[in-house]
Amino acid sequence: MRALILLFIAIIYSGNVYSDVFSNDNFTLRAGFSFNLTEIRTDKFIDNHEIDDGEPEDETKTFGFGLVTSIGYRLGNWEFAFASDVLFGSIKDITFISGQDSIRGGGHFRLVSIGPQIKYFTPYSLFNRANFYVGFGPSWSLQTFVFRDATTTGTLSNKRRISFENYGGGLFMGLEEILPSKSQHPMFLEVGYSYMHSYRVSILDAENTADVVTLSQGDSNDFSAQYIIIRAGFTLF
Amino acid sequence: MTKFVLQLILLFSLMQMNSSWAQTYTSELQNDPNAPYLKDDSIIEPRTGKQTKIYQYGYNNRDHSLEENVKNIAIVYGLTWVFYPLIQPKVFKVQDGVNQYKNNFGKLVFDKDEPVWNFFVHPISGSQLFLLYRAEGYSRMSALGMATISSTLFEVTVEILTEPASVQDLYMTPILGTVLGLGIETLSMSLLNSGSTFGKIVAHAINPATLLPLYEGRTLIIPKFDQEDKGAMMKLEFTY
Repeated sequence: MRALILLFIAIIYSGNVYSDVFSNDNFTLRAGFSFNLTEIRTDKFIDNHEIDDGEPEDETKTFGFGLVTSIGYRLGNWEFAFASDVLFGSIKDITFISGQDSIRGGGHFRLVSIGPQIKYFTPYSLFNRANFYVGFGPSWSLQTFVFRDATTTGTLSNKRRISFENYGGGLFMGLEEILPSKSQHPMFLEVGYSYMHSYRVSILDAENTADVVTLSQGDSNDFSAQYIIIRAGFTLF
Repeated sequence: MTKFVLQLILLFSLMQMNSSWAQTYTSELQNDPNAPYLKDDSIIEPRTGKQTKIYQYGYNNRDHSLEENVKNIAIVYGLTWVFYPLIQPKVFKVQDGVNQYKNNFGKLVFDKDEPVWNFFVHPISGSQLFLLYRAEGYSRMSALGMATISSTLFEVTVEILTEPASVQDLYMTPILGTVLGLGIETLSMSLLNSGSTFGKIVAHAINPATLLPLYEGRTLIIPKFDQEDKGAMMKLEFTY
């Protein structure tokens, strides 16, 4: 937090040194859409769809879509960026167990992942039209499961949601259109893989959507998720 | 030398074409009683009586001094202290507010808010911040930077009256806000320059910064039909 504040003070100060640091052409804002295949694994979940041998499965796979944004600073062939994935997907009949409580049903999940990235633009291109690049970076994410038409036992109710806070990271490789200037909005297409592991779980009461209440919160070490993602978008400016 | 002569011939030809076109246009305007004419800052169409303002809307990027940046950030920051309690009356209901403020200060969490807040309300406020700075002559990247500073100051020192600073808000407000703001900018400029009254109302509604006195992008273009002095005058206003 203090580092963030210091960063912004530095930015304001740099505005004094260089008349207008933000107008530097090396900064790039990108945005686009994504499509993902997510696999969720936890002891607290049972995927009722995947029970075909009588044994409950502790993993579930689902497709989703989302938004991708990034703000980066290009330095030669390298780019240092902050990027975010916002993913939405559906979950079919699963059971979530928390102590003596359980909730079973379908619904959807949403994931917000934010983190720094380092990207390297290789000297290779596809027919001189698009530049290959690779990158990686750590991530900090929140994955929330929202149940719909669920059956519950114990104190969990239909309006309860489960959120996992995770640390993780990701790798990606892609192609970016080669154009003379970023004002021509070069497009990009990339494939990525991300993994995350939980460190905290929260049970939320979403009865009042304007003021979601955290009912309970605790350490969590048994939830992990990974997704393969295709991102496509373009440079806005 | 040959190239220079060719360029001179081309320039002379273009001047002749322009001159003859302007003469024709002016004489048509003078001879046709139904032709539109200029009155004050409007073009009047005699048949319908319709008056069209001859403003062109856009954004004129310029450099800003550190003093201007600090002043603008301070004004926006001051306004957030006024408006946040007004739109979040729960600020006044917080018990032991001073201690809560102290506890929340410096804390950074993932908020558990509904998507409507994180992906709609915050980006909308971010987009209006972006457009506010754009209206004041900041380039797109500068406006993004200024919006980032303003929203961060709000997040880490004002919103903590009720809740700790949120990772999503710190990122989504300026970044998604700028993405949205860019869309609003493009749409509103297109509508403002369309000449349609309804379009202008919609444009000002989605981009209210264009109505503020600080908006520097409105250019008045006054065509001059006089044979002796034909051309156009342009008037731009800057706030310093």
